[in-house]
Amino acid sequence: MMSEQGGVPDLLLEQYALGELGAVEKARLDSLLESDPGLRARLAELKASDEEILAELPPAEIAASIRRRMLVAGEPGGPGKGRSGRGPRFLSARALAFPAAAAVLVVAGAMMVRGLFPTPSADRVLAKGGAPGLLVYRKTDSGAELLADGARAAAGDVLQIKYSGGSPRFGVIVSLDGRGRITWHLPSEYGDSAPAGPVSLAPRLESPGATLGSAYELDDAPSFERFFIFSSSDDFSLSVASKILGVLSRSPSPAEARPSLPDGIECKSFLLLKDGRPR
Amino acid sequence: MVLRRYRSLLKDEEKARDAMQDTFVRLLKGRDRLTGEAPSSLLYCIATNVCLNAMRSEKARPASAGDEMLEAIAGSDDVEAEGQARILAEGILEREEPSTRTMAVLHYVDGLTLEETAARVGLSVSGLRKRLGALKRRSKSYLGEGG
Repeated sequence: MMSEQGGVPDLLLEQYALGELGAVEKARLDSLLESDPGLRARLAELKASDEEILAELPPAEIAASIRRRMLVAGEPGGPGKGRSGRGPRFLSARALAFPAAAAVLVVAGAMMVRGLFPTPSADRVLAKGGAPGLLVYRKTDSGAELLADGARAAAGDVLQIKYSGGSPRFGVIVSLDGRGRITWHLPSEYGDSAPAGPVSLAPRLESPGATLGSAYELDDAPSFERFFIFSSSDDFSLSVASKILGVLSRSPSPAEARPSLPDGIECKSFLLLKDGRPR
Repeated sequence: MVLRRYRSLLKDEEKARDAMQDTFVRLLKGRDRLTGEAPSSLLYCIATNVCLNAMRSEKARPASAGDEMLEAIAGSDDVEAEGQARILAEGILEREEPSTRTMAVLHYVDGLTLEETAARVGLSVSGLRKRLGALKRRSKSYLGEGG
């Protein structure tokens, strides 16, 4: 709003900082800034506020959240249409011509939250008071179907993942395939690449749950694709999940083995079997 | 900027964050018609309008200096704004104007001059003066000065 002294309105100062003022207004503010230390302090506060907001609300996470909202609102795609360079397995809803399916997913998801879609899988993952769980849908010709834990799937299947969770928590969703490759679904920026360093933190999960902003196409990795949601009431580094899955992938039976979890981390998983038994 | 605007008007961090994301969702819904000009003015006006609608519907009570005027503007019987507010909420786009209430906030609450306000809402000064005059007549108790 207006400054306490009734001086330069906040909007003008915001636009000055953004470089969006016209030449005349910019020249006036340049002059005022030279002579008014209070105005300089306001501009410095604004820039500091920008840095705080960007640190607290990373743009990539906000963009992902907005994509989810667009999907929930029946709007395909979102701001990240044509996702950047994270491999062909992540597909935007627009690229898949998936709007009808997306709408079905939203409706189906809402029904299940209310307990009106009593499949065993939904009951299990949406158990009250438990850690966040996963729901996995597969695109069909007429919409989407909810898959059961342990269901058969094949290369080319297009999946949409939804997570559920009640209390405020932080979490990540990752999958491990039969080749031992890890794919990051939430946050989605990393694709098949490991997050850089321990400073990358798990995002806050939405309550009571959300549908991920991108559909996911299964590739031809053999045996299985196993999805995990790791969560905690405190934020944690993505490297925690990387380490857990690294150990799990080297186990004799990564499709079925129980992951070894550090204190404070909870996990639920969802298995899809591909062309036969898991190794 | 958008989050700061919501924080300033809504006085509620959770609502501010939620409204911020909602603003971009609404903007993106109409992205095919965006002109790309003055995005900050556009976002600021959308945020202002969303806040006014929230205050009007939730009867939120602002708590700082100048907020009585904001509340009066939010609650004003701005008939023409009803339709435009809806349009604005769906994305203020090419050839669509912000509601008069939004203009009133920019001028009376934020302290932009008539010229500065007019430049940001795409009206002439005389057109803006006319719109604000009509709103002022419907909100005499708080908007008796200025304009």
